[in-house]
Amino acid sequence: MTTRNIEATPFGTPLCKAELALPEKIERICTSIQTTAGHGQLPACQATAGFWGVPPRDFSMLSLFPDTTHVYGWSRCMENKTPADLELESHFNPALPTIFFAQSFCAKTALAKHLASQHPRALFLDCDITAGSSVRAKIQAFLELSGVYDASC
Amino acid sequence: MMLLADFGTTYAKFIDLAAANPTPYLEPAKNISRELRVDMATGHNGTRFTDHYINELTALARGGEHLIDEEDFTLLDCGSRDIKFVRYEKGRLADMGWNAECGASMGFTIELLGRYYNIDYNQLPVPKKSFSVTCGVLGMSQIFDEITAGSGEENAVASFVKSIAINAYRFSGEPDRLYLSGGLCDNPLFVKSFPGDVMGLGRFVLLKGLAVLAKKENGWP
Repeated sequence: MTTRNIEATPFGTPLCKAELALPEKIERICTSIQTTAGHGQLPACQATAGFWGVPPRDFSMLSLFPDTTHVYGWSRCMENKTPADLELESHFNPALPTIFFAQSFCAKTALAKHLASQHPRALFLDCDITAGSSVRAKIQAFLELSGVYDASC
Repeated sequence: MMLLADFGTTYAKFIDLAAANPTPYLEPAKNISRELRVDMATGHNGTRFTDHYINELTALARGGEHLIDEEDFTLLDCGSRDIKFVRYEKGRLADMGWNAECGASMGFTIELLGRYYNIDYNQLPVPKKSFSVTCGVLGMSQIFDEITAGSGEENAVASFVKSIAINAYRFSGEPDRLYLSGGLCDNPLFVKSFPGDVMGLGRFVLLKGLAVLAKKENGWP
C-alpha cells in the first residue's frame, strides 16, 4: 500500500497570487483539489502581504488581510496539487510582511515557527478552533504596524 | 473636548487632548457610565464606548515608539486581564504577542490576593522560591498548597507574584532589558521579581499610543 503522496506534476498557483479576497481565494483553492482539471488564467497582483499556512478552520480571520495577499505554505501546495512538496511549502518572500499560521497542536506549527524565525518581517500565529479577539488583534496590528494597510489602499 | 480612553478590565484611563493642560487620569471601570462616549478608545471594553476603536497591540506599539528612544526594544504590558508585548528591531516591528488565555487574570488575581490577605506589596521582599503557574486563576491553588505546607501567607503570595513575573518575562522573549507598562508597574514586588533590567513606563502607555494616532489623524497636539 502506498503511504506517500507521489503527486509531483505542478498545476501552477495562479489563485495564490491573484488579487482576490483572501477567504474566497482559500475557498477556491480548497475547491480546486476536488478535480484534476487545470487552473484558469488569473493575472498575478503586486503583493502587499503574505499568508503562509494551511486553510484555517475559522475563515473569518482571513477577511482581515488585504486582497493583495499572496498565499504560501501548504495552501500553495494544495493549489499546485503537490501536497508533499516541502520545498514549495517552505518558500516565502522575505520582502513581504507575512503571517505564518498554523492550527494549534498541528504538526505544521514547528515549520511555521521555524520559517517565521527565518523571515525578517514575520509573525507566527497559531489559533485553536475559532479566531478570538487576541488572534484578530494580532493580525490587524501586525498588518497595520508593517504598513500593509497603507500600501493596500 | 477630545476624549481618549483605554478601557481596561478594572480601570479606565482617560485623557482630554482639548484641555488646557492634558493630564491622564484613572477611573475604576465599575464607575463608568454605560452612556459614556469617547472620541477614540482602546482596551478590553473599548468598543462599547466609541465608534473609533484602536486595537490594544497597535496602541501599545504606537505608545512604545513614542516613549522609548531606542531602535531595539521589548515592551511588555501587564494588565488586569491579559499580557501583551511588542518587540522592535532596527526601528521596525519584529514580533508581538497577546496572551489573553494562559495569561488570564494575572493582574486581577494579584490585586485580589493583596486585598484578601491584606498584603502591602511595597513591603514584601522578592522570595527565593517560585513555582510553576499556568495562569493567575489556576496558580492560586499553588498558594493554598504552600500555605498548607507551612509557608506563611505573605511568602506564598510573594512566590506566586514572582512566578507570574517569570512567566511574563519568558512570554516576552527573555530580553536583557524590558520596558514594562500597565497596572502591574505600580506593584514593586512584581517589578523587582523580573530576572533582567526592568524600566517601568506606567499605566498610560496605550493612552499615549492613542494620542499619537489622534495627532496623526486629526492634527491634535
